[in-house]
Amino acid sequence: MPSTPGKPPTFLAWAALLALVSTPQNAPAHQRLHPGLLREAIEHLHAMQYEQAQEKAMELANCPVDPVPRAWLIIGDARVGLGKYSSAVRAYRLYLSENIPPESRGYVLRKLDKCRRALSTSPSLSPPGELLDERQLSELGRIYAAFFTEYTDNFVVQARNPMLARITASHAQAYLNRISASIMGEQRFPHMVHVYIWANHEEYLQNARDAEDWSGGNFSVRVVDGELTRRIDLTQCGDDGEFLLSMIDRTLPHELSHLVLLERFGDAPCPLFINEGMASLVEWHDNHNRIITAAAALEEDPNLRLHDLLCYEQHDNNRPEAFYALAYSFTSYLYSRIGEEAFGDLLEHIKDGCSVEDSIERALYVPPTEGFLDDLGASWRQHALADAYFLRMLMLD
Amino acid sequence: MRVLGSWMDFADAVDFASRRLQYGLHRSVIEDILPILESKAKGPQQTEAVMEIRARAMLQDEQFQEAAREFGELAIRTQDAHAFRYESAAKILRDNPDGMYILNNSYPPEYVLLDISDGLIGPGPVSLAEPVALEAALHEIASREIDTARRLIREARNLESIDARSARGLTAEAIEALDRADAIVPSIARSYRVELTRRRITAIRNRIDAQAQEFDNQVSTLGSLDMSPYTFRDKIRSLIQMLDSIRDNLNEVVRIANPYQRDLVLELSWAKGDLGRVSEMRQELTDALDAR
Repeated sequence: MPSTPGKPPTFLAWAALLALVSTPQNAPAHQRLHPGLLREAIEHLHAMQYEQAQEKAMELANCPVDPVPRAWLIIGDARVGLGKYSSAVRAYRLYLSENIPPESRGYVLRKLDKCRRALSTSPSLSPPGELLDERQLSELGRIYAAFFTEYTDNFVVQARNPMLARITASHAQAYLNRISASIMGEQRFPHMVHVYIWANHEEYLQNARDAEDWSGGNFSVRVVDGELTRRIDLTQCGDDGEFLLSMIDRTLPHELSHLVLLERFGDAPCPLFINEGMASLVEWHDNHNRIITAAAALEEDPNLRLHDLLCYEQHDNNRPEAFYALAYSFTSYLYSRIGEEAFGDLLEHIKDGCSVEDSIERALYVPPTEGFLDDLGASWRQHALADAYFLRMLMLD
Repeated sequence: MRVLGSWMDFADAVDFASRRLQYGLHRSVIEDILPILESKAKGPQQTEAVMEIRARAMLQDEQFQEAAREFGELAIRTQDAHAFRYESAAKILRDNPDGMYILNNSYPPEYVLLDISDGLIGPGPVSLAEPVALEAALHEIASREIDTARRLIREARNLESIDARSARGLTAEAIEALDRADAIVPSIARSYRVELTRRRITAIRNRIDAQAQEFDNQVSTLGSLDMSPYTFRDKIRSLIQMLDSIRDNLNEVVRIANPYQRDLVLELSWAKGDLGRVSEMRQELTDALDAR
């Protein structure tokens, strides 16, 4: 019996001990001492009654006769629910210090990570628009005669403005780290990317590789002097001569996402909806227009099937705005619902040659089911329409 | 037998007990139904059905050790694929004697994606006394078996061109892991089996292509050589043997693709079409043999 040496056991401990020896069943002591208490604590947790869950679990964890160290996990989860992240971390550590099954370790580590992120005081990467004042924005619009170069681990940025080169380089690296984590998991993007920022649209069209007339940025991968080079071309100023803020918070992460997906898929084809959907998803910009456009496209065509979107190819693309919006809408739905890990698995299955439907079922570990894609399409449609409805309501307000 | 005031046969009584468990009425099952079922069970099938009801009732009654023992007993008695399922259930309960299980993902796994909240549990701690919690825990074991199979398939694929024998061994191990996964969640491994079958068909197809090439080469020499009737007949016989070998390979394709007709429709139609052509060619050769 665990008791402090030299100290007599308390009345509670004696009572508990008495209950223990008087119960003949062959069950763990805590079950006989506190029948159903563990289940009660879990039920409170599921009902989001965190105070009660914590109280019951504490009773088990601190039982003087037969403490239940696994109850620390319930306490940790309850504290997360209450927003008490520091004490949740302490509870999880106590749980992890016990001999726990390896398969449950992953869950706790994810929870610890969540707590650490919540406790982190370092500012998250903010869109440049929020960081720059009027004077800086005006400076970023200045075009110098010479090119200025900035380097990071993965980027060589050249621009006709020193401040722009510096800001773009630091943001490109931060975007890449974020995008790589979403698309490549634990792998790192190993290559150098050359980023050229051209003064205006005209200069961009003259110098960018394979640029479409309507575009303001693009990526390319090409063999130059026997070496495979990765390049992104961007535009500094719009037709009005003002600095194009969307170049940094929208076009740059969009093109980077294409490069990272290309790295992930190699020679295997990546479905267009994922390629464009992910690229839109990582943009640092609100996607209100896309949400509304996607809903409008779904309302306009009630027969639009998810299967058609999944099979969309570049040459079918006669309504690009609607397609980009739908691709964004479905990819963000999928990503947010199944999570980063399963999404990474999904990409791996697609790369291995599975259909998107099979890949989703495989990533979720569910048997193939007739009509799964139709059901998924219906859930996504409902969600997309509801999202747009709320957004329209907010805009009206 | 008379169960809770109603007359029913054994199968209906088992079904009745099972449904009461779904509604959390385990005490009534333990006290009122199990004693009757246990006294009436005849033969291994009925005994196992009662044991499963008993194991589930014990589980819901939070008698976890008792339930573990019952599932363990069932695993020993059962001969079919269910044995692994029972064994896994017993292991889950032995590893979590307090009845708390930590779910890594929500269950059923597709519910979040399909926007279904009724019946959704996890991730996080769940009580194995909840009827769906054991299913969720078993699903995680099936998922781990799938992961094992995936790793083995990948290793086999990398070894295929270097060490075909080891690759075959790894593939066989992968199939065993898929069998275990299917024993827990029926058909969960189907798409992996289709993938393995497709790869086997590709290998057979390569073999058939080589045989067909050799057959064409032999046929092209048939008209140009001035050969004796004996040599000619010998040649025809050898060509028929080649066709028979191709036919056997095509039949193998049809045999292994048949369980997955929807997924391997192209492979099946190709094999069936070729079987028809082989049959016609064989008939022509046999006619030529008879004519001489």
